[in-house]
Amino acid sequence: MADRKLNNAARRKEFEAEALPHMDALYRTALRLAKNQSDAEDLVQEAFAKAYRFWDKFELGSNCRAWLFKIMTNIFINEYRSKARSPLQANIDDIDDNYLYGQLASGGQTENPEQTLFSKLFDDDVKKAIENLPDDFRLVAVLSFLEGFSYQEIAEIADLQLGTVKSRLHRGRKLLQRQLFDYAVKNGYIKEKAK
Amino acid sequence: MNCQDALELLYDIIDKEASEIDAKEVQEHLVSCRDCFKIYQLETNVQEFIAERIRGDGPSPQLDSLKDKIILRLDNIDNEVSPGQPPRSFGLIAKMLVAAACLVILIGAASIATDYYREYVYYTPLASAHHAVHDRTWDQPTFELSPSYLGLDFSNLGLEQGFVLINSSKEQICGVEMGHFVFRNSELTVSVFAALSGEYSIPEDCIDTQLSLDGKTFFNHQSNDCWLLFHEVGNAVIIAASTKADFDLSPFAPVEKVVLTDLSLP
Repeated sequence: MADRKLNNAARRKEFEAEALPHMDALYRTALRLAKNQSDAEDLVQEAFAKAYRFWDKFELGSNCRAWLFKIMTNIFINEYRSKARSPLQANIDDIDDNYLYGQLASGGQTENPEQTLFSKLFDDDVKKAIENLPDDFRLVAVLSFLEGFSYQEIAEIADLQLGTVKSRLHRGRKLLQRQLFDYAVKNGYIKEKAK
Repeated sequence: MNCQDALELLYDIIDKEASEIDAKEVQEHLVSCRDCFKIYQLETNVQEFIAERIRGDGPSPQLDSLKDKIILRLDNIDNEVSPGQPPRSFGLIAKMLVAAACLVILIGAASIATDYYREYVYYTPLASAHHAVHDRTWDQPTFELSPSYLGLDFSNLGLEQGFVLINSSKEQICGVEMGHFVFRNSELTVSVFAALSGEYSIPEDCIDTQLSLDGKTFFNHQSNDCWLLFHEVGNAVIIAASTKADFDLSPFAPVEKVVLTDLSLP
C-alpha cells in the first residue's frame, strides 16, 4: 500500500488518537516479556518510536492494536530475546497431557482439588512461572492469556505458522502447569502423587 | 464423539477457537462422560486462574512517566533532519551521528511487509558487524582472503588514521558469502563486510540518514552502541561498523581497483 504522506501535525494528531491509547496494554505485555520494568519501558518506547516512523504506512481503520503488538514483538525477538536455551526447554516432551489433572485427581478427596492449589499460590508464583518459560513459549502465552489475541492474530503478530502457535501454546501450558504444581509441592501446599 | 476426540479439542474450546459444530459435540460428550468433564473443568479453572493472576497488576504508577517519555520521543522524531539533504561537509556526518545517538534509533523489524526470513537474512550481517567491533578481541590475526575482493581494494582503508588490517576472512552469513576485513588503530576497531550486490541489499528501515558525497551515497544507522555505514560501490555492498559515535567511517569506503588490461606486447 502506498504511503499516506501526512504532514507532521496531522501524523502526530492521528498517532496520539489511534496508537497511544494502547500504551497500557503494550506495557503490561512488555513487562511479562522483558521481565523487568526498565527493559519493559524501553521496549514500549522503541515500539512507539518505530510505529511513529512508519505511521504513514499504517492503514487507517485496520487493527492498530495488533499492528503495534507486531512491531513490539519484532523488536523483542530481535533485540531482547535471550539467545540461551532455557533449561526448561529440554524436558517438555516428558510432561504428559493433562499433567495437572493426573497429579491432582488421584488425591480424590475433594471435588475441585485445583481450588486448594490455587488458594495457596500467590500472584508472584504465577508470574515467576510465566517468566521462567522459554522466550518463544512465553511470547505466545502472554499474547494469548494476557491479551486475548486469537491464534490467527498471534500467527500474524509473531510471524509464525498457525500450527506453530498452537503447539507452542500447548507446550507452554504444560510447562506452566508443571512449574506451578512443583512449586506447590516444594512449598508443602499439596502432596505429590505416590509413584 | 469419543474421549480422545473430546480431549484433542480441549484447548481449542478453552481458547474459543473451536468451530460451533465441534463445540456442540464436545458439550454433548461432556454431559455423558464424567472423566472428560472433570478434565475440562480443571483445565478451564486453571486457565482462568492463570489469566487472572498475570493480568492482576492494575494500572501501574509508571504509566504517566512512560507516556511523557514517549511524547518526548515523538517530539524528537518530528524535529529530525529529514533524510536526503546533502551535507555541506563531512563534519556534518559526525554531528548527525551524534544526533542519531541521542535519538536512540534502533534496528528493529517494524516494516510490516517484512517476513521473518527477510529479517533473518538482512539483519544478521548487521548484528555480525556489531559483534565484530563490540565483543571480539582479534588477538589472533588471520589473513585468509586477498584484500582485493569483489574488484575492490581493501588493503589500505583508514591508513591516514593509522589503521592497519588485522583480519581478512570469508564468512557465510545466512547463506550469503561475505568478505570480512577488520582494521585497528591504537584506539578503535572497525569491521568492514563486503557482499555481492545481488546477494545482500541494505534494509530500508535501517537507513537513518542518507548522504551524498563525491557521487557516492552513504547511509548511516545506529544500533546498540554500534554505528554503521552502508554504501554500494561497483558490484558490492559494504557495511562498515565502529563503536564510536562521532567517528567518521567514510575512509572505510573501498575504491574500485584499476583493472590492468593486457599490456604485453605482441
